[in-house]
Amino acid sequence: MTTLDIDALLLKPSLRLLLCVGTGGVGKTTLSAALALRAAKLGRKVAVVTIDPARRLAQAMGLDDLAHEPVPVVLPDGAGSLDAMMLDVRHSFDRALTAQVPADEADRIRANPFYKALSEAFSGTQEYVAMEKIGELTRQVEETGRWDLIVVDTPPSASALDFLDGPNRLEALAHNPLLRVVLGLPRGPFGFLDAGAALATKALDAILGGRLFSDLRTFLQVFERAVLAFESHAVQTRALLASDNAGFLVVAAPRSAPVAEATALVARLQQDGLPLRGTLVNQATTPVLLPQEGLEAAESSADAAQRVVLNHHRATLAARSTEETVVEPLAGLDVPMAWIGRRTGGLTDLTSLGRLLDGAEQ
Amino acid sequence: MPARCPLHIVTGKGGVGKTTLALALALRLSREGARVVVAEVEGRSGLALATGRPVRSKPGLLLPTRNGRVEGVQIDARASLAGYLQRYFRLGFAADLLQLDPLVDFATRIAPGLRDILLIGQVTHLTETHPDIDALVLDAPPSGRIGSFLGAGEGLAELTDGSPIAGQAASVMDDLRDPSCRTHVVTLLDELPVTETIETVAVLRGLGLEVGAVLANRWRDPEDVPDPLPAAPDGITAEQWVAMTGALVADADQTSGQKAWEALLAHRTGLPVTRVRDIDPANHGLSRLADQLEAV
Repeated sequence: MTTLDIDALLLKPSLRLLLCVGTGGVGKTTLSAALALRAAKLGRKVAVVTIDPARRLAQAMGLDDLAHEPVPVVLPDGAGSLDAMMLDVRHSFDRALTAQVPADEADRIRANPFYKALSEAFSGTQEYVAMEKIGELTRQVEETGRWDLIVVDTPPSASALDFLDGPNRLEALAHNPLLRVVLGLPRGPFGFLDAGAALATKALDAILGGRLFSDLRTFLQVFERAVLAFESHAVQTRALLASDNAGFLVVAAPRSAPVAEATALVARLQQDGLPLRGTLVNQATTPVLLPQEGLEAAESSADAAQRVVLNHHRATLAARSTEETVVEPLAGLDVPMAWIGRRTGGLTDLTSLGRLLDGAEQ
Repeated sequence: MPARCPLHIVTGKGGVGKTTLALALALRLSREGARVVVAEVEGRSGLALATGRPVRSKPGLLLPTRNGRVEGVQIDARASLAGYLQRYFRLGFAADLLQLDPLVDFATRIAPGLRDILLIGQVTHLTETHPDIDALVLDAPPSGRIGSFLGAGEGLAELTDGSPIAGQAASVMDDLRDPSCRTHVVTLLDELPVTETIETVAVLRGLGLEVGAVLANRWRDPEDVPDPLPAAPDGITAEQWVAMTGALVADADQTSGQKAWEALLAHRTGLPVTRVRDIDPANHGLSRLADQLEAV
């Protein structure tokens, strides 16, 4: 295992887009903000996009709340710039979908029960909207020069792979042969067998009842157009994600489940040919470094009060050693890695956010 | 109607150890010689990752036990839909599940609640197909999604008012509101997870579901900090000593903070909080975790 030099990565001029991926609960959102702040302090013009962040994180960046448009974060002198924004899935999906129809029809679509269900709960919508936003922001990078680096916190999900799979699922739905059946479109040469279509239509009718069919048809007509428009953007965004301008950081925590998820995610990124830059082991125990002889000398002469401090130190050494064992499957891969210490104290301002990466063992 | 087999639903914020405690609970329930099945939904394969054993669509051995049996099963949307169509409409897809792919994809994505209803329906249906199961544990979606998952019946009934699936949705809600079903929330005693747990308990109660235990995972005993802090002993520089005592004080702040969060949690939910000591589940750790769940 090599160590990941975070600053060198953030300073790489060709890096325009940095994505933090990983399972829920590993501190991805906070780390994305900390990485963006670090990059800005190193002189880059950064925009950080987070997904549903804790209000406290917004406050730590000196903002009351994150908005859906980029808002500047006040930085110390001599730094680059940092804008923060939050991704509003409902709003973005709404905009993308209703852009395909005239205004009066848009209201009707919003009242459609299927639209309501899909825009809020569909697995893949968040990921799709995130992809759209990435594409939009990177186009602005090229056109306006307002930013030279976009840092993206990916949506929370059961599986870290959802971020990569979500958009495909939405497209799969648009190309589902049943969609064409419901819309009464010709099925095309690769549509599935008529017998299967008949049975499936019967089943759908049984599940939904006839009354819902017209609602469904109205919705799908708009949906199909919207997804086809999405798709052309998504092709460009995917090309960008695979390019040298992008970078993925896999975030894990030193516990067996997140390590297993992160290991699977590394394999997947490599298999898909996506530019993996490194892994971050967040929330780690970080013992104070001292020579073994010093510790032994201290232990032989310590009084009761001193011994409490020394025992605590021994306990953190043991905890760290356990964590290193747990992280072995990930550390054994040929991917640069950095350990990030567990946060102590509150996340109250930019200083405490910045401190997160100060102790990174790079 | 015979008493239903107990169903324990385990949820919590992402990363707090839901799957581990779901397994520990199953182990505890099996100790009197019971057959316990742990189910997972959404193809998360967390059970397989945690135990190193394959988990399939039929119950199979999951954990080595001295007494009783702990099995795992993965509930998948395709099989759930096939089962539903077979049971209620006599539409047979059993011979060729592949035919169902476009339908499952279509129906369950266009109305996301439908998928959840089918998944939960398949879990409760397990006790009918396997009458010798003594208890079910569901390793459920995280608390951010648990309201829409367990409450899918309500949303779907609204969406599909008067349609055949509405009846299925209502019957799933009845099963979940049965006294034999309880939802446990796993948390950590820290700001974000505690806030989310308080919200989750309110959401569950709003759906008319019984909340069982609140499990405070990774409990650490508070550190004693000498007062005043001692001076550096021989062999350690002043700078190193400041860092070491600083680490002790920071840890002590964190561990004593647990009690404040615990008190807030108990006060706001009206539920007792069960402390679960921080133990790695590997190497018999799961059994020691199970020991701490006697009250659940």
